Amino acid sequence: MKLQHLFDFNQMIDVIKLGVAVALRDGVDPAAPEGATYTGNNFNIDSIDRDRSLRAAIRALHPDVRGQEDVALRTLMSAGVLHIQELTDDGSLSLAAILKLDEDEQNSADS
Amino acid sequence: MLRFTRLVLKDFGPFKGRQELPFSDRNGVTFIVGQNGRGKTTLFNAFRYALIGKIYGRSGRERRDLTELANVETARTQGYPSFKVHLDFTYGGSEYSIQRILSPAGPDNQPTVQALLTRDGRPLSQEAIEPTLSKIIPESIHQFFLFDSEHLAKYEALLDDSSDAGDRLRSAIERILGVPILRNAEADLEALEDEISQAVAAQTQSDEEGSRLQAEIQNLRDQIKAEEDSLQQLDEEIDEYEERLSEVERMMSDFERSRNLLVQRDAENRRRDGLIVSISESLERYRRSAAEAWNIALASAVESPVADRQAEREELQRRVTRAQIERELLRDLDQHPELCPTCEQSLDPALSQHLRDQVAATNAETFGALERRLSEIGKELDSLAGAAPDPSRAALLRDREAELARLRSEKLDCDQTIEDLNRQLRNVSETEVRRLAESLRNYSRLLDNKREQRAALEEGLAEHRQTRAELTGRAARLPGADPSLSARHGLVRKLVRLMGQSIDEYRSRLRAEVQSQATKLFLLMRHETEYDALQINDQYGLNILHSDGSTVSGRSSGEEQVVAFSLMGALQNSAAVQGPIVVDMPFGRLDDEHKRQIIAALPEMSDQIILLAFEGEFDAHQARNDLGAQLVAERSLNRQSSRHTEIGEVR
Repeated sequence: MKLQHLFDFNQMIDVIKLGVAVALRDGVDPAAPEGATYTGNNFNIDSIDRDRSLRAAIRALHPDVRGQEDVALRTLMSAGVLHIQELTDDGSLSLAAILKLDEDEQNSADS
Repeated sequence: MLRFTRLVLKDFGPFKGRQELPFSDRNGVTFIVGQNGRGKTTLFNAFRYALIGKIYGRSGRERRDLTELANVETARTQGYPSFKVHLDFTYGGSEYSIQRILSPAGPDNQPTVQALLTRDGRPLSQEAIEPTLSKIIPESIHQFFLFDSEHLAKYEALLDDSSDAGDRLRSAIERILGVPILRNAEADLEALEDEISQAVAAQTQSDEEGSRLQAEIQNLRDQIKAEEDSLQQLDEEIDEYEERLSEVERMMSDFERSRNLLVQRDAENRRRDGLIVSISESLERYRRSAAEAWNIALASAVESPVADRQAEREELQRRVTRAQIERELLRDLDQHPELCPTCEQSLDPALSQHLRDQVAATNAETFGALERRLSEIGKELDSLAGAAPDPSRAALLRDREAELARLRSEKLDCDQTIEDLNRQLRNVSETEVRRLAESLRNYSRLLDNKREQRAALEEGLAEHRQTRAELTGRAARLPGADPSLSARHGLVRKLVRLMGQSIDEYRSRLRAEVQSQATKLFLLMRHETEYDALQINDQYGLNILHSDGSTVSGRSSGEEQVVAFSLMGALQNSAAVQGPIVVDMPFGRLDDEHKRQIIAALPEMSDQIILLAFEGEFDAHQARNDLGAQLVAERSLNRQSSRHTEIGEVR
């Protein structure tokens, strides 16, 4: 809820999806910690990944999880939110900063 | 001649940190320009505070709680309020430096002000600071150096003989022109006359007439002494009532100011309502973009694997093409085993069979694998197609987030302004206004009574002094009297009369001089060509004379301001004390033509003019052209935050 409020998202689901995508971009490990359960995770993965693009990205980035994409997605749904929380604690207080849009702009200007 | 050389502020009002304002040693005009709320009035107050140790609010009332003037951001960071105002100036061939510093002191760490004054680098004792500054620029005349255009009304009051405000201003004008020095000389001569009168009475013979005269003179002396004491007491009471009346008037003008604050708050509230609507619309737009934020991150995440697969697909496609060529080669060899399919030369049957076996073996194995991998990659790329980079989506999100942040920042500023206004309006009540109005009437009535008593007392005193002089004259002529005492008495009497006439003459000449100087400036500044001159009255009020000889009535506030400027300049040029003129809000009531003419006439008013104006109050480009080299500096007050202004240099 804190992140949803901080970035003014309409729904928590937007935060979860952003968390997964940013975690994939930053190389967060999608392997579930040993003994992890998903108690408390209220979101259905098909609602989160209706077009399956997140799972396709997991497959593309982590070929070793092939066949276990749903498990990896569930892991990243939690790990991603924690990852964004860390980024905001480090001072990335805007969505543009989380998405590194200013860096992208700088890079394209430099090139 | 007083001249500012440098003003240094530290954490004073919005001037956060140490900020320096050096002044040119060339004669001319300095512009200091900033938007409303950037600290022009604070800067104006800094000059006044340095010189007379007092801060006045916009209403003219002295501010007692100086901690409110400390920079809020610094006070929060360091946990206590503090500031420093430091003014360097030259006067009478010496260099002075006055510093007033607010900081916690004493065992209970209460905010305390300390002053430090140096002359030519040597510090003066604490007891000498205020008297020294008071000699350079007495508090009663500071308004002719530090001119707040918001207080124009009192200059108009000079035209009203019965106005208390006009009366006080007239006294201040006479002070800057040096009249009290002559008044003191007159009082000294009267004291001398009393001494001689006593000496004459003491040496009269103790015959019948001598004794009678001696007793009468002594009675008169006692009476005169009592009347002089009463007069002095009445003057003190009048001063006190004037002070109280002035305080009530300032409080009344606070209520006037409150009305202005209410108007300002209404405008801020409207602005806030507009911002709330804009923020709501902006938030909706931003949220639509934010819901797609994950896609932007995902595109960035898969950028590298997508590129790898695209490269692999191209390589595979090249290999598929090669396998297809090999397949065609095999087909040709099957149909014409005796011919080479490339050069169509005859081919040994054994070699032909060997070729066919080899190509068939590798082609069957490779082609299928290539086709399968190509299909897999195609599916993978299809599944990642939704995460393709979209620069316009990213740019839109960034712009919408920035717009939302800007609007929210504006609203925060607006909320802060409203909070400040609410704080200033907190103690305003109608009951208080009525109470003040009643006090105003009471003090005016009391003052009228005291002034009537004073006038009657002065009349009686003049009569008794005259009688004392006559009796002293008679006693001095009695047989046996000391002829030198008689001669001294006669001389002092003549001097007293002469001094009285001299003061009247001096005042009359001063008025003529002020009228002439003010008219000269007025003619430079006015743009109504039918206005010919200014005419001064006994109170130093200035009437505008029309070319048809009549007095202009119903002057506009712009004309009032031009007349006030003319009087300021005339007093500077005629005064015993001369120095810089600092003007806050100089052009608020003037039309463009008046502004232009006043700017062009500014260098005539004083060698050092400092104007504090808001942006757009005048045409800076035009002013630069009109003043030329007489514009010696331009400064700007630049916003860093709502509580932080930096002084910048324009040129």
